[in-house]
Amino acid sequence: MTEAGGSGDAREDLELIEAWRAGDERAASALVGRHAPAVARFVASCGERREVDELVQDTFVRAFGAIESFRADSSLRTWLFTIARRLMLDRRRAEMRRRDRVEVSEADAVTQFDALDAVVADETRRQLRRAVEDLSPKQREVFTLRVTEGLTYKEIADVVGTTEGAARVHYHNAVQAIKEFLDD
Amino acid sequence: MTECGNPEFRDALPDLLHGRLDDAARARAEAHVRDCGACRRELALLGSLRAAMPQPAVNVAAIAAALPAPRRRSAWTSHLWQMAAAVVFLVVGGSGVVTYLRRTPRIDSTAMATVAATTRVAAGHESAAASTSGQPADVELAVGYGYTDLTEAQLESLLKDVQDIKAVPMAEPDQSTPDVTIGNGGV
Repeated sequence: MTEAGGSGDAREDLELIEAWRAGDERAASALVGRHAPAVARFVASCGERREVDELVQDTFVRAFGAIESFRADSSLRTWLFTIARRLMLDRRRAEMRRRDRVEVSEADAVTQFDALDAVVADETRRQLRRAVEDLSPKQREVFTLRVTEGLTYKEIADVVGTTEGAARVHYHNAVQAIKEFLDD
Repeated sequence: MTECGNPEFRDALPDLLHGRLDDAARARAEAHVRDCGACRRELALLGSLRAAMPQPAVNVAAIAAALPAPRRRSAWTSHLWQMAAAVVFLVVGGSGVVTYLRRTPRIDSTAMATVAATTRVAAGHESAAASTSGQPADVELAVGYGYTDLTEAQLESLLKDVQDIKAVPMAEPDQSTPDVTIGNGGV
C-alpha cells in the first residue's frame, strides 16, 4: 500500500472509490493508505497536537459518508484536506467555548507532541518547527500545503477557501516570516 | 538573507522539491538554482522544513474499519424505480392521447359525404373496368354517409378532386417486383 504522490493519482482514486462503492473493502484500505499519512501531516502541522489519529479518522468517515458529493474536478486529497480543515476549525471553536467555561489545567497543557519533542534531541528540527508554529494560522495552513504536501496555489485556494493570488501572498509572507524567525 | 528577484523561480521551488515540474520546467529551475545562491539556500531551507514537520503515525486498518458501508442501491429499489417510471409513462402518455383527441376537430357530415362519394366514384370506375374485362366488380367501398344530398356542382368538384389526387406522385417507390428475363427463359 503506497502513499499517492503529489495530489494523488486522480484516476486511480476514482477507480478505488468505484470499487469501494461496489463493495470492495480492500479499496477503502487502499484509499486510506494512500491519503491518511498526508492528512495526518497536515493536521499535525496546523497545530493539532492531540488526537491527530481521531481527527484523521473523522475526516475519512465524513468523506466516505458523503462520497456522493465528491466531484472529480478537484483531487480526492484536496477534498480530504478541506474536510480535515473544517473539522479542525470546528474543534478549535468548541475548545474556545469550553475554555470560556473551564480554566485549562496544567495537565492539559502537556501533550503527546510535547513529549515527543522532549525526546527529539535535534535542536535544529525543533527550531524549524517553532518557526512554522509561529506563523499565523492561515500562513501555516498555506505553507504546510505548499511545502509539506506540494499542492499548487489553485489547490491550496480550494482547501482554505481563498484565491490563488491570496494563497501565493500568504506563502511568500510565511517564507519571509520563517527566515526572520530563524535569523533572530 | 538576500532574495531572488525572479518570482517565477521562487514560486517553483516547492514544486521542484516535490518533483511536480515537467522535464523542461525542471531543467530550467535546476539551472536557475545552480546559478542563484538565494534560491539554493531557500530550496535547502524548504527541504529542511519539510523533513522537520511532524510525521504522525496513522492506523490505516483502524480508519478503514471505521468507515461507513457504501450505500448500494438494492435490486428491490431498482425494480421500484422501474415500476414508477412505467406508471409515469402511462399516465403522461394517456393524458397526451386524451388531450389530442379532445383538440382534434370532428369530421362534419359534408366531409364524410365527400369521402363516401369519392370512394364510390373510384369504385364505379373499377366496376366499369371490370365489366369490360369480364371480371366481377368488388363490393362497394362506401364508408360513412351517402351522397344523394350533394348538388351537381359538388359532384363535379368531387370528380375534379379525384383527378387531382391521382396526379399526386407517390411518396414511396413502387414495391412491385419487375419481371427479369435471363437468357431465353423468363423468371
